Amino acid sequence: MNNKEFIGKLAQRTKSTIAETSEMVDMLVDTITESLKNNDQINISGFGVFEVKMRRERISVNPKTGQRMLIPPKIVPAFRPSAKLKDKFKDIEE
Amino acid sequence: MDEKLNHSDLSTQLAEKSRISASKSDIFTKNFFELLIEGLEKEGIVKINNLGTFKMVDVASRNSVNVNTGEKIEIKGHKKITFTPTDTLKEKVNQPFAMFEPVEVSDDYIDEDIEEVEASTDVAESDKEIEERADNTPVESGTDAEQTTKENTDITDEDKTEDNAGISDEATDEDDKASDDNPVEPDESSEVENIESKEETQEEINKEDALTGNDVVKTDKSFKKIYIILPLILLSIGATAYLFFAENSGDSSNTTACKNETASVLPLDTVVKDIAKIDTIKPEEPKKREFVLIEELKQRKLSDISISDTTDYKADGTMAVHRVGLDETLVKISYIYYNDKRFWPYIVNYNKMKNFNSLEIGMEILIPNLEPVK
Repeated sequence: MNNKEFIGKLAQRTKSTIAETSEMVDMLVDTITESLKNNDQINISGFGVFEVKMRRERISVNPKTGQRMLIPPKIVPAFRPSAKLKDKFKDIEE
Repeated sequence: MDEKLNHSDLSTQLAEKSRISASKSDIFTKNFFELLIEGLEKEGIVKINNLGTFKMVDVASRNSVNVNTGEKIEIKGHKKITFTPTDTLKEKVNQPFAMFEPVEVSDDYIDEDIEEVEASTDVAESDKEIEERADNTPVESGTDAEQTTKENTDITDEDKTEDNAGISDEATDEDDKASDDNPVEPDESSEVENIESKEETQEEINKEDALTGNDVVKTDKSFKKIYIILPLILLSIGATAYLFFAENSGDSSNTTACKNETASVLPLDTVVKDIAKIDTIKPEEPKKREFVLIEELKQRKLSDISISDTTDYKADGTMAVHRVGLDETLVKISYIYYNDKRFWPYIVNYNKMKNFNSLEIGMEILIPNLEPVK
């Protein structure tokens, strides 16, 4: 399901227009991004946790050339599904 | 910052942003995440612009052992949720570190770096001293400099004939002055004490004084200007002290020559002040420490452990216990023991240090014996 389909379905659910829904989704995503930028954790019960993680600097070696690179430290966004969500998907059989 | 937000916090923020009612925004966020889960269940993938992709992926079944009984068990394959953030989100979150870029590491960068570190600590040291001095300087600058000039003339006269006599004479000279000035200017007495305590190092100082003393005599009259050129003086002290300390680890005769060169380049009235300062500044302490550092350097070069960072190492027992000294960093310690400054993380791990950003003086650190993992 891509963004367009997702917004279409969400519009149906909330009984609003697609344009409105699209705007709302953008704002929600913005809100999440802002919070993550502040190093905040966003805990959505029943879904999971959005958080940021600090990756330390490291030295990586190119196995072909033997060239060593120092990879700088970085902050990455991460999502951790809640236990409830995990259990739900564990039980799905194909 | 570092807060934990929940669903209602998120919907409140959304309500503020979009200027819709709180209840509406609450319903909206609820729907948003419900639909996300539904979409994942039905289609296995949901893409949201500017946020990322949620995906349901298979985890293959695998064999494992029960850690309690040692019994072999099979973990069944199942599904799990993954989240891949978009580049825009990654960029925004990583903004504090955005200026870093991967750099190539070459083998021969270590020595330069270590030298740089040592030099910079020297600068910091001399700066500190200057700061300390700066409080006292305005009060005593005039009289102090005068005194030293007089001393210098004494010394140069006597130095021509005999060196040793010069020292003792100067010492007594100072004593006389101390007793003369004491009742008038209490501030100066501490300074004089300072000088007295450094009598052991006087011989070295005498050498310089002999060389620059003649210049000093000529500038006797310009002391009144001294308040105006004080910042200039401080600067020149910094430069001279830096030169002196940086060169000190090498040949000492070289150093004196070098310093005198710089002194003669400076304007004359600053030279007077400079010498007065050098007399009092030059402490034995940093020299001693540098000496110890050099000793350590020599030792470690003898024990030369060849370690490279292309392989993994594991700690195998404690090699030594290190007591943290002044201005030491993990990088330096790592360099002392492993001849490589990149091994400090092993020290951190081995000591289970939580706060490795602040080493304390006198702290004891265990140095692991590193064995390459085959």
